[in-house]
Amino acid sequence: MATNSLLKQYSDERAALVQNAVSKAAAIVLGRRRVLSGIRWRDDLIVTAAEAIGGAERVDIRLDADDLEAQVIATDLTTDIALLRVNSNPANTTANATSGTPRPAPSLLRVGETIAVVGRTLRGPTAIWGTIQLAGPAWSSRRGGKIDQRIELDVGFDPSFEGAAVIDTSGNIVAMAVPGPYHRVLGIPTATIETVVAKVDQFGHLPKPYIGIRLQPLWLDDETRSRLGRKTRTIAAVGGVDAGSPAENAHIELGDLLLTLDGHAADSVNDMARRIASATPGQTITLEVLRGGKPLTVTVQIGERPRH
Amino acid sequence: MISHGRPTAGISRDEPSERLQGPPGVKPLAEPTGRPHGRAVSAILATADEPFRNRVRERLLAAGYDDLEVAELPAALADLLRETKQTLVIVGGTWPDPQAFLRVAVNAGALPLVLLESSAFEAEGEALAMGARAALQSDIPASSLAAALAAVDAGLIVLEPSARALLLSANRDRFGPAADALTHAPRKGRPLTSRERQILGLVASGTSNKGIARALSVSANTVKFHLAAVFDKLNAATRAEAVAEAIRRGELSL
Repeated sequence: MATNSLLKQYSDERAALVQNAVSKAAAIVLGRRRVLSGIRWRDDLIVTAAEAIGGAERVDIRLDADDLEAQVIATDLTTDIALLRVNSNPANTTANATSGTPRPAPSLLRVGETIAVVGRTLRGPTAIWGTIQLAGPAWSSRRGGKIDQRIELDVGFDPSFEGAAVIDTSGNIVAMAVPGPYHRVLGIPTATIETVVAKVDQFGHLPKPYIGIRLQPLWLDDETRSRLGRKTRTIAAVGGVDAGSPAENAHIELGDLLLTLDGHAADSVNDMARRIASATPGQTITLEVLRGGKPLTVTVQIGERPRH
Repeated sequence: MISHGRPTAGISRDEPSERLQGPPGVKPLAEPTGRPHGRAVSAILATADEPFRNRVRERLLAAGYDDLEVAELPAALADLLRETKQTLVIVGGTWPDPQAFLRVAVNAGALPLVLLESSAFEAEGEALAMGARAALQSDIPASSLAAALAAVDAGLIVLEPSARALLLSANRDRFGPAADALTHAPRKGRPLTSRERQILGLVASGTSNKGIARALSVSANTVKFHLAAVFDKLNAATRAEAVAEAIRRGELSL
């Protein structure tokens, strides 16, 4: 066969694209058995899957040339993004402080695009090619994470690829691959990762939005439902207010029934949880509540969930 | 005497004169046999807790273990393990009292079985983490105790049935649906304890297990065992699921 056959060119180009991304692929050692992948986002920063990191505080990292130790500095269960800071010597840190890798402005992925997932195991870098199986609009995860684009990948996935980089045919890192429900493989877009990275750069950790109320769903009978003008059958009732919390400061009381949040009907406990989770600490929200049969409007400044 | 209960002055088998048979702090239990050093005895009962020792001894005798050595001090246990071929060691009492004995037994390569006075799976977990081959409640029937000793002697690990759910749910990613079926079906809707809620709140804030351990001044293993119980109660496989489900049940604030 001719050495410059189309098949060979195709294969060479694919291999070259993967090869370029390999320097960004990190293996993250969680225990004796569990190794997952990560993306070297900056010299001192590695992005990986929060769910797999679990409660770990320090992990070992293997890169092309280095074996490093990293500290888990943020885990966002709502977007499945975890950030690890590589412990490097001070000389390196100074040199690398401003050397963040510039990335092309994120453009939306298209269904049917060819992509590769590039990860690393302790035995070396790994890659699989696949297709963007679904490219939807921005979505909100079940846990309240705002994710810039719904991306599902058609790739032969195994757990070692969790947290691996998804590259397009230009070699740009466009997403992180994570397992989703029903054995789907999801892509968490670069833009979403940048948002989390920016928050951690700003605060030094990832503040979790919190107002300090516990909610219980109440079942509404037909009469009550029509009297309240509610479409849904349940309503969220305040079952507890944490001492010293933003909700207490805003005088939310036990037994208040939640009608709306910022004008949106608060249909269920899940719905409320999702809306609070996607808010930012410092932001003010308006809650309409029913107290003793009378509607009241309360403004609450979103706080940060206590960390000790 | 002559029960194996509290030693009564003068007629107890625990006569000081009999201590000559072994190192200080070691009391032969059965009639002194005068066997040479290096002999095999059936088990060593190592605890400083006298009432506990007497209760367990009675059980062991009932279970057919009539060839017991007793070590009252960790140092005595170390001596005994050095001079006998015995590897089966029963330590126990109220956790964490047995830890010193357990450490000696593990370091000597023995097979320690831990009997706990109260049911606390943190203690079971810590004992197992330290190298115990079995962690059981001290009030198990004599027949169960005998079976557990035989199993440990054969190289197996013996757990309380309640520990199975914890183990399975902690390793749910490997056991998959089997773990769900075994651990979750009958256990829905149990409320969290306040400690569990506290720990889950810290999980929701993004704190690592070690960070939680530091915040609450407990060991990281204790945090893990609490979390295993939380996951079990909330039917959750992941931290995110546990947090979401606790919020849904009104057990965690948002």
